[in-house]
Amino acid sequence: MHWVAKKALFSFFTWFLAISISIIVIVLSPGDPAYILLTGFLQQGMTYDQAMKMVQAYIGFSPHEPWWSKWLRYFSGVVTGNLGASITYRVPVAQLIAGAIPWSIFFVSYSLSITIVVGILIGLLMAYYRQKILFMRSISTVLTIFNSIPNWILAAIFFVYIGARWRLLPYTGPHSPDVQPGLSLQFIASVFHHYTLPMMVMFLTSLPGWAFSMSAMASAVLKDDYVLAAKARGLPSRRIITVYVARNSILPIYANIAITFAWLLVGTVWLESQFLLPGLGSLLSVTTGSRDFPVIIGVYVIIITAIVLGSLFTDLTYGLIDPRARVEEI
Amino acid sequence: MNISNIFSWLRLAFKIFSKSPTTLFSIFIIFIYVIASLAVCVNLVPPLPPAKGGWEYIYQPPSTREFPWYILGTDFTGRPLLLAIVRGIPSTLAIAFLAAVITVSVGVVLGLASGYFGGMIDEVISMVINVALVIPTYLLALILVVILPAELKTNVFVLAGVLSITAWASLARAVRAQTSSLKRREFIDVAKTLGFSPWKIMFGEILRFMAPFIAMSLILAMTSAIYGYTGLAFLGLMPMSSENWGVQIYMAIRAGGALYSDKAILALWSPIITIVLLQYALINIAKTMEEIFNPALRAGLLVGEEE
Repeated sequence: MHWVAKKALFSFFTWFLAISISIIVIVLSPGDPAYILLTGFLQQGMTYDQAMKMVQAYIGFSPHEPWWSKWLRYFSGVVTGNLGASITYRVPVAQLIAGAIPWSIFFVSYSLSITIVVGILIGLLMAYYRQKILFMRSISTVLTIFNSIPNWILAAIFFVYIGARWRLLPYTGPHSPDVQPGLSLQFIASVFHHYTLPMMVMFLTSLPGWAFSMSAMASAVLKDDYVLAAKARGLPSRRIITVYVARNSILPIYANIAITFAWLLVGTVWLESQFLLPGLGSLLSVTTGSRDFPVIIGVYVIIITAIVLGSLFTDLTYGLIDPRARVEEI
Repeated sequence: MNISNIFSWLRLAFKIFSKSPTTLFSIFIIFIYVIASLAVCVNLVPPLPPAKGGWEYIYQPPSTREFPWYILGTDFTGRPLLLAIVRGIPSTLAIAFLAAVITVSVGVVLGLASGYFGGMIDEVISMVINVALVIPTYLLALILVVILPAELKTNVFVLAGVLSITAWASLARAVRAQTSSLKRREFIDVAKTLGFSPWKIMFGEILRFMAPFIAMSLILAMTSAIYGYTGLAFLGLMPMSSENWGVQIYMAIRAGGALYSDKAILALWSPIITIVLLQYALINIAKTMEEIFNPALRAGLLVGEEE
């Protein structure tokens, strides 16, 4: 079999198992969502038959089925694009998610692109000046401090101070309320302006990871023979670091972009809800408050799908860069 | 490992720890947290007074009453803030430690078995690891915390299980890779010829080589569990207990008016500093351990005296 087909098949199988196991864990745990929905509807004064029908309509399975039948019904819904209906918004979950995805993609790409550029630069500097102990120690201390601040704490601090108290940057909503959404320059500028503060949070909390792995990768390359040979030939250090080190250490880091992208989607649960932005994360955190299970599980399924696609893309990119990765065991 | 070997390790560890002031600081921080937990456990710290609702009791300014517990004022329930934070240390550390032990045990056992036995066992376990790798721990934990009944959410063991639910996957993958390369070494052949059982080889011989790596993973797993425990509370998904630092931050912003007034400013910053100090100390110690056990990284740190 062609290596691309093989990887794709493997990803599909992983996706199938990951979704199935999660759904089975969720319906088997004490507090099956279908039961919670049923008791909710009964408390609203519905008759038992009515309530059962409502549960069926919203989440796609009823509380009294065995677990495998719940799984089968929900999973067939996932495959056909029917994720049930939202209880709070009274619209199909798929429609809610489709409206949220572009915002989250924009937010994560905006932050990630800046993080990658700065992270690679800092990583290269750290690798090149690793002998300068004072420089190394101070930069790595600062990065470790940012590494130890959870993103939701930094979001809360920025929200309270830079946003609400000092009013340096907009801190609520995706764009200014006076701007009409559309493809105008004014609207785009307003969106970028409103996403600056959330982007800074995601940038600062994910920068250490990129800088540290870039520096590790570049330090390994710096010890390679061809770098030694280049030094021995008396090439200027700027040329060594840009042409010899950067190019060869950026490639493996670059291949990780897709998978990191998917993982950053998880972080939007905290960031988007803090800054009242639309998107997958805020959809999830809003619906946990109202226990809107069709939406909660729907967003979960979408994020796992994104992670699987991200890993597949990463695998394929590795395969293109490095032919050895094509045959390697998976 | 013989005595002189251990001795030289200790000397190297001492050298690295003492040359790096941030590491000494981190050890000092962890020491304080551990002392505080012990003090709570042996009842040296008074129990939390009952909650007092009403605007005149909550978010009071600092006072020297019942020194030192009111020195940071009161929290959203009218209880002394410092006392609530100190009483939160043992439960947070216990959940973090338990979650880390679960993460590391599951990761090590699956990784060892998969890497050592190979074949069919490896295929099956690798599949399990790959599936767990794509399930984000915080996301599944978030859903479970929403659907679990309240009495289970306050149970330390349930919470630790939820926070480590798929967190073991990357460790299992790393252990698997190391095991399959270690098992080709000669001393394993010797052990096999001597008739050692597979369990003895895995846990006695192979695991010993990975001990530093596993200790480091344990510390990093603790930081992830603390992140999840306080982070889920910040989303308002945990029981509204004074002893969870995430709940304190959540309430300071949502109910204390930290946005516009200075009334809840201490209730906002005290739990933040408590969390960040703990996370910083743990991450920093894990990094220093990496430097001790990985000679390639050590070079940068000790280069001054090697030359």
